[in-house]
Amino acid sequence: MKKILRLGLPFFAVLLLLAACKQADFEYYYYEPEDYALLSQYLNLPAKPDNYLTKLPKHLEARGLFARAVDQDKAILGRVLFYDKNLSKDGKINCASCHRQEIAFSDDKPVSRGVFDRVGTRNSIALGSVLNFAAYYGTDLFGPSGIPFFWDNRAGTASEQNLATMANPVEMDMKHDDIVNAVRSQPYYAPLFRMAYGDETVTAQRVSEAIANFVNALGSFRSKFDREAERVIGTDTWNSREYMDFSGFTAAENRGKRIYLDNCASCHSPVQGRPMKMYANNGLDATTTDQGVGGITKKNSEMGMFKVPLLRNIALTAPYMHDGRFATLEEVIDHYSTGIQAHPNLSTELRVGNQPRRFNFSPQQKSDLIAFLHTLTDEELLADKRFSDPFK
Amino acid sequence: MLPWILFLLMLLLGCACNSYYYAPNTVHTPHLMERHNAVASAGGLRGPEFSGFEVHGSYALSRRLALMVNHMELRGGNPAQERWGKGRLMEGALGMYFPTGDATSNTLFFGWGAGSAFNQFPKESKATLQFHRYFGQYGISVEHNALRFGTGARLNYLQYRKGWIDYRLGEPDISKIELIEERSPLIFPELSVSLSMGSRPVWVSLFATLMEYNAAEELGLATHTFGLSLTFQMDHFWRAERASKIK
Ligand code: HEC
Ligand code: HEC
Repeated sequence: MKKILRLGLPFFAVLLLLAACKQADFEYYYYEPEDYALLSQYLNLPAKPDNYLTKLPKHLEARGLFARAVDQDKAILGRVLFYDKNLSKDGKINCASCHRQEIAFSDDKPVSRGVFDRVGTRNSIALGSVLNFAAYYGTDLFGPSGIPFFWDNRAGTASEQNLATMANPVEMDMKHDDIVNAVRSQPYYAPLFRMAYGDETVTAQRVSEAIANFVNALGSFRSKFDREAERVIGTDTWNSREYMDFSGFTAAENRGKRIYLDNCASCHSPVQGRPMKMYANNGLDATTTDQGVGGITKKNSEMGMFKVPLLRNIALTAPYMHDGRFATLEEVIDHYSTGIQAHPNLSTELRVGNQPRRFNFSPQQKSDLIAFLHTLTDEELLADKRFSDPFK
Repeated sequence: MLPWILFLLMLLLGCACNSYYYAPNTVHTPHLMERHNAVASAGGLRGPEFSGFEVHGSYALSRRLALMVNHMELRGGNPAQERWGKGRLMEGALGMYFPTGDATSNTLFFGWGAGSAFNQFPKESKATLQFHRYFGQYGISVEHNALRFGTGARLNYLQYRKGWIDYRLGEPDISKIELIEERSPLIFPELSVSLSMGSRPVWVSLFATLMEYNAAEELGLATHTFGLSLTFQMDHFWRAERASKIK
């Protein structure tokens, strides 16, 4: 017995050790091989599906901002739809025509051009100006506290928004039936619909929901500002650390941050988390023709008011404002410095008594502010393959 | 208070809202005092969102050597639901026992086991993971009148081996599984305490088992289980038989 043990135990131990060194070997599967072969004729989709789970930095989560999970399979379908030009009347326009990834999903024209070169009335909103659509947009989930879509807040949810855009005659000009037919006639959608919905039935609702899942996964939170804010501000929500200098910033950027916190953060948010106001008038004109929010609600107190955008990636998304009137950030700062007009609904932050406020920034202050705004650029978003054009 | 209410609610609704890829079985501390002592137990087990049963057997081979086998099966939710899961673990161990005094038994075991965790998610997507677990454990059991108190500590080397995962099961579980694959093998301790009441040859035992792994939640590992078992001192029966034969 003893002998068996003396010989057997070391042998057993060596065997165990050998077996124990084995690496885990997991097999993942997604597309059926023949589906993937078909998809690969048209699209560059990875065999291993992209992960659209978003985790926001902790200084934003500490402020109650969480990216709700989107449905990954629908987001993958949504990405293809977002980049598919067949979804427009003339076959030349996709969502990305006016929301280009390399400029943070914005458009470089003052007002966007849609199908047949038809001219719209407003400047495209940079989807990369938003922290994450699923963190605070969409009235269906957040009730009255959710931020609606568009400059005039006229759409409550991402699917309401994209159906309106697809139907808009100066954008994509596609009625529900047109959308369904366009999608049905493309061979690559059958497998994608099966993955997302379990069957191949195409409806405008499904198309819109899939695009909404893709849009809800979008957002920007990996800029230099975010990295520094997460480190320095962390989970502090007493607003006492926002003014602390960030050691990763240059002196000009830190000075610009203070100017921003003193004069701009009360609307545009101190940490670019969620705008502090849903809409406002920032004194672009004394009298307005595009009435923005008031044009929808017909309330006098809301005439000439527009969505307060976040300023993420602002250095990339020129021209600026709802009508794209300013070509550069310098012009924007000049406007706030000396150009604010006395509109009846001009926001209190931008007036002194009845008079528009004059910040009278010095040239140094202006360049500091612009240096700070450049820290909001998120290179990772611009290069993020999950949001790029999948078409070959 | 609130966690307990939630816990009770969860039992009532049988919710399998989270999927688990590992759950600790009880660190058994059989009360072995002399050669041919044998202990067998069987009972129910409950974890955060699953329940099941486990059986245990141990036998004193010689004056020092002992054998132990354990088997556990768990299930959370049920196949009629969109999400449900099941798991099992079977293991054997060889070790030693040392009585100290006439009421305390110390046991030391080294063992190996194999198990699997199956989880189903919406859209009928599934994940099956298989693992091996090597362990060493030390236990102590003290008998006092009608009570037995036991506590055991185990060090695990948990090695995931094969897995079949449908990517459609989505987040956050894909990340958990990928993290498991990346971190495997996992090394972590577990601790059990038990209280038994009864007298030879039958005991009713309550167990609580805790595992400690810093990223347990990120990996979807259950951190605790509670058990209620009937424990039999099997040698009592043989002895009774032998005694009656001698008569
Ligand atoms: C022809 C150019 C054009 C096309 C094509 C286009 N958009 Fe837009 N998008 C705009 C303009 C302009 C606005 C702002 C319109 C307004 O506020 O009235 C906008 C606004 C949005 C917004 C609102 C963002 C916010 O913060 O409120 C989202 C989301 C959006 N577009 C997504 C899409 C999607 C998805 C598609 C494809 C289905 C799409 N866009 C196609 C020009 C376009
Ligand atoms: C009263 C709230 C308020 C304050 C304070 C404010 N803004 Fe704005 N800002 C707005 C609104 C509203 C818009 C959109 C207006 C429009 O397009 O009609 C806007 C637009 C902008 C834009 C253009 C965004 C885009 O995507 O086109 C920039 C840049 C900007 N603000 C910078 C600043 C800076 C810098 C300051 C501080 C000096 C500041 N804002 C202070 C409300 C405010």
